[in-house]
Amino acid sequence: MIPEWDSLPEDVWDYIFQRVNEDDFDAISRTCKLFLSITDRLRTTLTISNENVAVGILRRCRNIKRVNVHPNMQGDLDCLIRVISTSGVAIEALDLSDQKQSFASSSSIGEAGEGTLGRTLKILICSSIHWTLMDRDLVTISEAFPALKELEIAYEVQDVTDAGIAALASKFERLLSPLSLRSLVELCVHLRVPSA
Amino acid sequence: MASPSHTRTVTLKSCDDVEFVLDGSVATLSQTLVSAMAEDSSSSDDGTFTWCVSNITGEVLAKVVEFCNKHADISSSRGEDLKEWDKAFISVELDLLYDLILAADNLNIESLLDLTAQRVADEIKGKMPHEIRMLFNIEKDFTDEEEREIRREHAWAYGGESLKSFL
Repeated sequence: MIPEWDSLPEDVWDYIFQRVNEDDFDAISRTCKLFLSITDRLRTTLTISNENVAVGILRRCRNIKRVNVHPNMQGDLDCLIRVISTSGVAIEALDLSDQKQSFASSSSIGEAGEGTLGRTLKILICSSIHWTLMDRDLVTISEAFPALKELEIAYEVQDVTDAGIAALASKFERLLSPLSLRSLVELCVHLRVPSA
Repeated sequence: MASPSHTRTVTLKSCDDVEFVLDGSVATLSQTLVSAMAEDSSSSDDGTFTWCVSNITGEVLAKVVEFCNKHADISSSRGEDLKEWDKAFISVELDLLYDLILAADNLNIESLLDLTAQRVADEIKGKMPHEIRMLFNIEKDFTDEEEREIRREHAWAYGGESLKSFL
């Protein structure tokens, strides 16, 4: 008789799926409802390309640590950030690289910090974003996310001056920007400059 | 007062009444046995301890005992050799693999659970849902529509290959 493997204890499947790359979770999760619920629990990374799915996914996947936002994400960036921030999930990294949309205003960033995200976010990646970050945005970011340790703002047309960098550097352990090497060298304890 | 577990002799009895005698030091690979021996005080005088594993057959238990003997033998348990031995040991049919993983879980033998779980994980990698179901005799409890919906949602939420068909 062929054993029915879905009668294995759930914690054994949990143990097995911890040995599978998250890239293989898609096929596993579509096998049966048990596997879907286990992979939901084990997932740590989201790559959102449509704002509409974020609410449902974050309600089920409570261990997400990193959210990447697709450059051509369909939907509204402000809404997405609000959903992420109010989900109660302890997200530590938010990657907005190459993002085409901008926040509606600097206050949207501040608002995002009022939810869980304000306490948990450690890494914010804004490199090659298609809007202009200014000094006051950096100040807003540093105030909204006091736990932030790493901010990446590498893009040559950002309207950020040494003063903005200085305001940030006093708060962050690591700050990535090719713009203001002098400030960085003077102020950052840990320095890593993007190879590009 | 019970003797320390590593000095005692352990008799393991399968559900079909096959008995295996283990050195105490071998038995300590099983956390279930360690806990059971710690609680037991009846057979302290002659130093033997008997444990019945209700849902494991003699055939499977023989494999488990073989594994424990090998892994407890310090002189042979070194690096590459042991890896090769493990690889040969776990090259079994899926039916036996299923029994081994249940036994590893039941007796709480971490190294055997690791080995068996990794083998199952390797079987799953790169397979499609219908292939996984067929391999492990798992019933599909999604409707086609539900499966499509999950596929669409996952493409939007996790990207990867499946996203291309939705963009």
